[in-house]
Amino acid sequence: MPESTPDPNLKFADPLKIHPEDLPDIQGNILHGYNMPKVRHFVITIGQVSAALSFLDALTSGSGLMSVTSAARWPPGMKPEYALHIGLTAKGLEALKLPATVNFDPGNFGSFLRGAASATVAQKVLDIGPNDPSNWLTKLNRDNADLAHVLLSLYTFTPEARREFSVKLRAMFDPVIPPSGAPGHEVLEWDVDPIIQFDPVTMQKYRLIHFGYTDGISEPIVDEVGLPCPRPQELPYVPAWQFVLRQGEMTSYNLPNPPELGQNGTFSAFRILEQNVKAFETFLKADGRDEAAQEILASKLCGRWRNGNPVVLRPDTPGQRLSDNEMRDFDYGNDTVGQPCPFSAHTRRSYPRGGPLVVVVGDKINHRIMRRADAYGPVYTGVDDGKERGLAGHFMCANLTDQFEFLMKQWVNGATFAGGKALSGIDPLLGNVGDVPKVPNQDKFTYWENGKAVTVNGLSNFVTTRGGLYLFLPSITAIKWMAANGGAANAWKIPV
Amino acid sequence: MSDTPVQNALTALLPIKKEYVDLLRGKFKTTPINRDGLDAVGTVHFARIFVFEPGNPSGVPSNLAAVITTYDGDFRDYIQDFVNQPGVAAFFNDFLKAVDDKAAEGLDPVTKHATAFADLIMKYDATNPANTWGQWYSAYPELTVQNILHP
Repeated sequence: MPESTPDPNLKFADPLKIHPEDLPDIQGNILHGYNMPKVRHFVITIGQVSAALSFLDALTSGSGLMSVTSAARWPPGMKPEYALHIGLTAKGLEALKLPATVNFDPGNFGSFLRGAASATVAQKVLDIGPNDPSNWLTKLNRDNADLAHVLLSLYTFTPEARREFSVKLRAMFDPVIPPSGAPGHEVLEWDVDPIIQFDPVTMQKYRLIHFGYTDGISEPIVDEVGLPCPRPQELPYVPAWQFVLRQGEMTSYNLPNPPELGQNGTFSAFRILEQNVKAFETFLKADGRDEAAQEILASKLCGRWRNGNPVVLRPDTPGQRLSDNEMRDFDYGNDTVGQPCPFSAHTRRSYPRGGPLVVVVGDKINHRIMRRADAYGPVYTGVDDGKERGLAGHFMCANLTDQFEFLMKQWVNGATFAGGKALSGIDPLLGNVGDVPKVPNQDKFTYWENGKAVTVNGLSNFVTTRGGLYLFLPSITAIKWMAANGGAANAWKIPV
Repeated sequence: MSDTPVQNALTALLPIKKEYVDLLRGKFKTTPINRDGLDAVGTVHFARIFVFEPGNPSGVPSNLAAVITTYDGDFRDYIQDFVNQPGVAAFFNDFLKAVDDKAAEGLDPVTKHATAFADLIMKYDATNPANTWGQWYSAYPELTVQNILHP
């Protein structure tokens, strides 16, 4: 294959805003989530390079049974039968034998290059103790991570459609994977079945997680041409470069080279997070708490009542479900105490919204991630059925170190979050309770009630990492470029 | 009380190219430190940067610039926030031109090379034994900048 040369016709896109002409080039689940309730993720190994390049070509040329879905707007009422997305690990990119001129700056993308199962990354995101990558699912664990190359995410509306399109997708990637008996032949399939709840009052559907909370309420809104000015209480739009790789002076990275490979792509921390609902419910019920007291404690742990209302706006009782805008558009004002919302409440840790005692300027837009994750496993019915359940999906951002890893280390598990207030502990829902170094009293959760601090003992690790991948989610142009330029004699190697 | 303070100390002594020593010393003497940028980061207690005077009684070489700071949290985690401040970035883009180390080349703009910039600073901090086996004291080991500013 000839070595690549930069495309002289490639135009650099606006780093600040998404323009309409960008949409057909960006994978569709980056800018917007889908309300498709039957999802399946496939993790495959590239065994045959030429077949892999043909597969990439088929996914974007329209010549295959299925195509990758772009962010181009669907005509009103014309949702497609499926959406399909692709991400590649650094090892996956290496397996394609891309030209040696490819460059993912190790200073910017070192974590991606090392991979989610590496010891360096595991330390950063606190995948230690029970969450250590050596304990992950076989296909993803540290011993096998080098063979986890490609993640395909299939979104459909019905179980039948999921089956049908899975068969088609398998037919497309079967020639790619190693032959039976060879390392990497096994395909990991992971079904995600969002729990959808219909609210007869608001007449809207909401997604839940197994812990019973309404989920997916507040995601960053990427700035886009044509968006209205934010409402007074609305949080700022996030510049495009933080979620879609762009060239520009203000970005915190160098665009991966060549630009046709880097531009309009992004990165994802794909995570499979087991949720121990039984332990969570047992914790809520301990000390003889009645149902109302359990709900108060649940609201303090999360920062939202289970119906999604923020405790900042509904401090005493959950009340009727607020409008979407009200649930999203609030701040922590000048609350320097943690009342009504404790500093360690999950939603405050995950997105401090510029509240006090957190690192100051820019927190309203910096270090944010885009969640495209939903529930897997059967709904918990109060009976210990021994079945696994949790949350799985993508946590996307342009800079894994400054966004996903910063959030996991400094906000979720950090001792100095909110100025290291003695009461702040770590995130009681997502934090790696019991294993975070240098943070005392991780098994305690403290909140304020009627001006008095209430400390609850017995927190444990309610969430366990079962697997993870660091992925590059290429643009449509990039997928085509890889299909055309892979298989190089002088191939790119991971530089770290 | 925690075993270790929430604050950390950094004492980096960086070699300066001969032709930049006087220029840099003069600049530090005449230009006030960028308060807005440091305020905005919100984790820096104290920061000093200077070039040693020639013939100083300690005999410290005068081609060394000292970056001395006490800050909260992890230096590497907050370095991007730090260099995202335009005034801070402009200062260090200039400063790096003077640093006599090949690793400093190509770090301009520092906003896009935060990790490598942190590596460079930490390299010269690591050579200072005070940060590995020396002693240091904090009068308020559990207080961060934000605790102090917002009691």
